[in-house]
Amino acid sequence: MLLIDLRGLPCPQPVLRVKKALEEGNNSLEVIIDNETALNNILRFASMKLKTIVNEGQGKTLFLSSRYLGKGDDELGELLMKSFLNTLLQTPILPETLVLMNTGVYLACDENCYQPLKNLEELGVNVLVCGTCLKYFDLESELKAGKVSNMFEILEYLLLRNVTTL
Amino acid sequence: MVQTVDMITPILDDPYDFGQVVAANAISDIYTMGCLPELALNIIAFPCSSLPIEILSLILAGGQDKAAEAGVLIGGGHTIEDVEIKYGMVVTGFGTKDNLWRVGGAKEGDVLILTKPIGTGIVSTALKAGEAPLEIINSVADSMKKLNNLPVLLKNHRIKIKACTDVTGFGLMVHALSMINKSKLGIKMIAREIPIFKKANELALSGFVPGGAYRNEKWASPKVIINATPDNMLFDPILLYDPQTSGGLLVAVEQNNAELLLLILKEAGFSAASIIGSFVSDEDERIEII
Repeated sequence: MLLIDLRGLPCPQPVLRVKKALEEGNNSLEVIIDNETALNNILRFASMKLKTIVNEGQGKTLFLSSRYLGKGDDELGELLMKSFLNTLLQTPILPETLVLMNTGVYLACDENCYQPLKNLEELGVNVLVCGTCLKYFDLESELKAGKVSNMFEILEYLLLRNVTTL
Repeated sequence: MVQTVDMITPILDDPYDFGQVVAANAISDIYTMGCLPELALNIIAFPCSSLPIEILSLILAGGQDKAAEAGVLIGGGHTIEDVEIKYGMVVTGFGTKDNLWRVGGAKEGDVLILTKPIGTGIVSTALKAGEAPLEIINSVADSMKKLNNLPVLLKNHRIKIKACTDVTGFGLMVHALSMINKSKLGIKMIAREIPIFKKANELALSGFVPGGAYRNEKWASPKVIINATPDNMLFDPILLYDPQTSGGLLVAVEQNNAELLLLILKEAGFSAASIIGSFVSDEDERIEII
């Protein structure tokens, strides 16, 4: 991924640099900007053809502590989670990090679920999978997406970032 | 007697054209009040040490020629050295107290006419990026250079202007909202009827939107309701907030005068002039886009 620092540049330079960088054949860009106009314009440009992760100093973290979305019916919860991950993949603005814990780690191992996670990872989303949980469920050799993480790293994301728990 | 001052930074590459736009833009404020401009003073900032003085001469010639076209005498001016070019005018005009056009004053049932297309801010942002096609730059430049001389056009007509403002830095929505401020009126605007420069939408979607548009949007969007279907609104809503330089007039007239006024405008070369909406009763003073 190419990193471009566009801080201090006046409008319309930031969006122009992004456009040029893509035209030069870069498929994936990490962009640092320091004002709302640049953010809005890059998002406008990107919404036509790109996936975007917005990390406003504190990137968005999604905390998935279960393989089911919502409580109640597990069969429905499983369907909802699958649909959630697939939909997330199609939205133009992606979270910075996904944290998988407890039965959530099944999502990164299950034949039917790991693909959207893998795709999100390829788009630059940081997918963290709890190592202790993998060990507990004996899934260490089944991991198909994301990277194994520890409580220390996960805590950092949960404490310092903008977190949504599912 | 009415007076106004306006000053801008370059929005076109051609210095002579830029000078003309400055004059048309500054003089517009006098026309907007229904008055006739007569005198002006130049105010200029120019980087004498880094740019050839011929550029300044061309800018001033543009201002002079456009002022002359409006019948305005430039009595002098003041220049300072600065890193960035700035040019503006203080303009004095005259009118009769009973015939002054004001921002407020439209009544329910009146219609709203916009005399020029919107999108100058977006096109000039794309121009700065070197991404605006020449043909579009020229059409925007022609529009910005065009005098908003409606009071002159109406000299021999008996059309009563109920309210008038010009669309400038705050964009179409904020200027339209100013017309219904404290009036208990709303404006129903027809998206399809809003004139927009060719390619301006494409350039907006490519991200060439000036910061002012986002500030205008933030301020005005709570009062703007977009109820148009995508079929009826074929442009990015940010265009509604795009800051304009030497934009058109927003004119409120009684419905039965609207077609005649439109005809007068078209004959005077305002080819994009359009009836974009009407004033309706609305306690909350909002704009509804349909």
